[in-house]
Amino acid sequence: MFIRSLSKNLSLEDLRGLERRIPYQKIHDSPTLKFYTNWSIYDRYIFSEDDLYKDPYVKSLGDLYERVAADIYYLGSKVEILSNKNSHIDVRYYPRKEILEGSVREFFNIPDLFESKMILRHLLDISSGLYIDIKDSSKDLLKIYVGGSFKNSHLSQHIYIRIRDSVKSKILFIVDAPEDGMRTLFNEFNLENNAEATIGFVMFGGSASYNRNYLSLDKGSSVRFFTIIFGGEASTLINSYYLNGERSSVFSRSFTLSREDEWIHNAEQAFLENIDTESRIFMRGVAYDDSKNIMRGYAKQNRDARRSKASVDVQGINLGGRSLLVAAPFIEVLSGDVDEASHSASQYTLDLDAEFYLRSRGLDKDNAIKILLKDYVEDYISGVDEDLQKVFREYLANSFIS
Amino acid sequence: MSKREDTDLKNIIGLTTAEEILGEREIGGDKLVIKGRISPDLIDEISRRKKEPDWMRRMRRMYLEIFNKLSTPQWLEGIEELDLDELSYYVDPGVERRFSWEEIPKDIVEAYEKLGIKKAEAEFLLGLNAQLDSESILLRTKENLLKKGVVFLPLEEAVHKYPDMIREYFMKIFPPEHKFAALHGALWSGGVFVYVPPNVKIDTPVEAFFLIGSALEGNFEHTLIIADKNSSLHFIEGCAAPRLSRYSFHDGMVEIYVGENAHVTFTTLQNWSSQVINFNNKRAIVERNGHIEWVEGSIGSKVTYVYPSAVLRGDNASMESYVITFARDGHIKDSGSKVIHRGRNTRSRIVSKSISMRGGKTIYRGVVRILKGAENAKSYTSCDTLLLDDKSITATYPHVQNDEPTAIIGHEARVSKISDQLLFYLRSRGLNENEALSMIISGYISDVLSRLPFEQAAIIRGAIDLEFSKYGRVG
Repeated sequence: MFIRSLSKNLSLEDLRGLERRIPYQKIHDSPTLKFYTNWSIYDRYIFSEDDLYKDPYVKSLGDLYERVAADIYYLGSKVEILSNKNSHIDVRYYPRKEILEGSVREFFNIPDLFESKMILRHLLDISSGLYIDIKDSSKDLLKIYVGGSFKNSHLSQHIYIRIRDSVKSKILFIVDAPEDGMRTLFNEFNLENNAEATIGFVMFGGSASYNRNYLSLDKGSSVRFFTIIFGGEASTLINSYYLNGERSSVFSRSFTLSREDEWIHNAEQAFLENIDTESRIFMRGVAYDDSKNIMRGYAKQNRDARRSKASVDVQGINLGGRSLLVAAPFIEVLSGDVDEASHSASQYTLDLDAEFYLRSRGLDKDNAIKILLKDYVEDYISGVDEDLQKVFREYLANSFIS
Repeated sequence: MSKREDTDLKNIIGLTTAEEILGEREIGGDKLVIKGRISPDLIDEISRRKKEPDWMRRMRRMYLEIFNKLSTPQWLEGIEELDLDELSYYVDPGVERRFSWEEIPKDIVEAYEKLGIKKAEAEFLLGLNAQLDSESILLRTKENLLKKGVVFLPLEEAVHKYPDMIREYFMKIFPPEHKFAALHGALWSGGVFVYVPPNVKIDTPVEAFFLIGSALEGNFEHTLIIADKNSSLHFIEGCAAPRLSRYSFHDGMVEIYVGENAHVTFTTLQNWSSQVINFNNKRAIVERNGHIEWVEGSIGSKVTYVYPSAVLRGDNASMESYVITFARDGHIKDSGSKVIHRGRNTRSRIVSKSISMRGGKTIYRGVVRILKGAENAKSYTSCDTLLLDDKSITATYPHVQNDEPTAIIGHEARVSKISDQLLFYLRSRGLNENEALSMIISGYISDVLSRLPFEQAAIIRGAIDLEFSKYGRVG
């Protein structure tokens, strides 16, 4: 069985037993912050096989198609491909049973299945999966809308994206908020030699979401990954970039916004495995009200990553009365022959004098903050791919900082 | 291979470690040791030997219970050979404490002479407590120190003379919050107690120097400093060991209470031999307008875990921390600095400079924590690493956690190699490659070096220059 080969001959039952014992998070280096997110929320939602045959709950399904206008709708454990303009791609859908039997062997090419309980939960509870094969270059944006949730249950969605040799592609994910349920979405990207990808990832929090993007980069390939996360009761997004091929590169830029009692955990981690690889991680975050915003950047330059370059830059603004912001830019250099390894972190406040002035001119606190944050947001947006900028601006326009 | 790579770094960069100075001979003669499984009986035996009051014995037992309950941190590396059951937890060097060098056995004095401690004591220290193994063997205090009412004593003696102060502060600034802090509390032996009365300013440093004389020793000295209101003190901590046949284990602790408007500078020159596993727990609590300055030169040891830290409790309290770390020959140096801002307008500045060479591993692990209410707190961290060859590695794990909207925090770090361009430039100006390397490294660490007292700076500078001297000293 597929799952046996994945997990060193452990059966499903064995894995269930293991899943109960593995912690959500192995803390090695965080002496003050015990948990990156509120894991107990994830405990509320237990997978039920029966849910797979129900319609998922999707917020305002009626105007969804118009509102989002995506090419692929992946709702609950169902998929709809609405647009036929993207003839350069093949999309295949796999239900739970077929995935567990190993119909698509590329799924779960994950370095460490046992890193967190959530990975095993995602695997064991898998609802369905998509296999997307991008065969030719296209200037059009491939939009993938991921949504739906099962009430009080766990919806586990999985997408594998193959970007073939020398293909250039642009992909936008819009990941909607789960309501009264937990959703895990794992995306695995394989960029073959000299492939280029620009990926936008807009994520809405909701009740409980745990999302991961694994990107494997072959020789000469490059990815630009732009993320925005809007709140959520317990929202986790971990992006892992494996720069396996020489001259492969990643440029990642993320922005997280939390307010009220939301809790965001965003991690961007790059593993530089080969010569002349390059990783640039740039994270920005705003925490407001009583929210928590945890940003972890990490770059590891392994022994063979000679002449590699890595930088991690984490910056945040803490606006709230009781909000918490954590910036942890980690870097490990295992090769003595790197060209660059640097990181920086900063947290600062808004210009209080300017805020006072704006409020004295009749603006309320929220509006004063929005004006003062404008440059900060613009600094992030201006570094985003032009096609994605428009979408990002629209979403930000509806958020509390605009 | 380029000419540069062809150069054998081992012949270029060599440090003046204490083990090179002291050689392989163990220090001291017949010793009385307490060893065996760590148990309440063993704790009682140590306490009995020290003729401690019962409250201290009970405290030790309490820390032992905590030690037994806590698990060993999983992230520690390089301590595989550490077997707590085979260590001697108390080693009496067999030398009574004296007040002059002449009364100390000649072979021991010779060791201190070689390390420059005797000369330093005569020329620029106001006080010196020299400890061999688990006991103080020499206490020197100059009249000026005593006249001002400063208390400078081995901690064991202070337990009897100043029990109220010891009970109030001992292991209260650094409570047994992890397994090895609890172990220290149970087994502590030796160390110094310093009390600086209000309005007393001590401009000349006092020093405590710790020597591990033999292999398989557990060394648990404890330094407790109380700087009362409006006082100032510069304390130097030195440590060394000869080349040992097997490992020894150092699990020390430094607790500093910095009163209102007080200023304490704590300088460490860690020069253990390359068999020593070194844990050191250092923390200060700083009251209103108080200032703590940690300066650390970490040269020796096989493995080191040390993070000088401060809780900035009072408004306007501040901390500065300057650390230079060398890791070589596969040694691991895990260091950094931690600060918790609690008072308003508190300030912290952390500067760390690491050099990894010949397969050494340096790790920066730091915490900046701004608590709610620490309005207008400001913190800045800079941690740089220089990799001298492709076998050496480094990692940085800073953790910045902010609960306070008005805080401003900055952190930056850089890992670099010695640039071929710079080397070429220096060589074109007439320096040979070794001189150029020496000059670059001296420049790299100059920020921190300038904070050290002249004598300590000279030791580190000498360390870098040692091998270079074969080719011509720089500067």
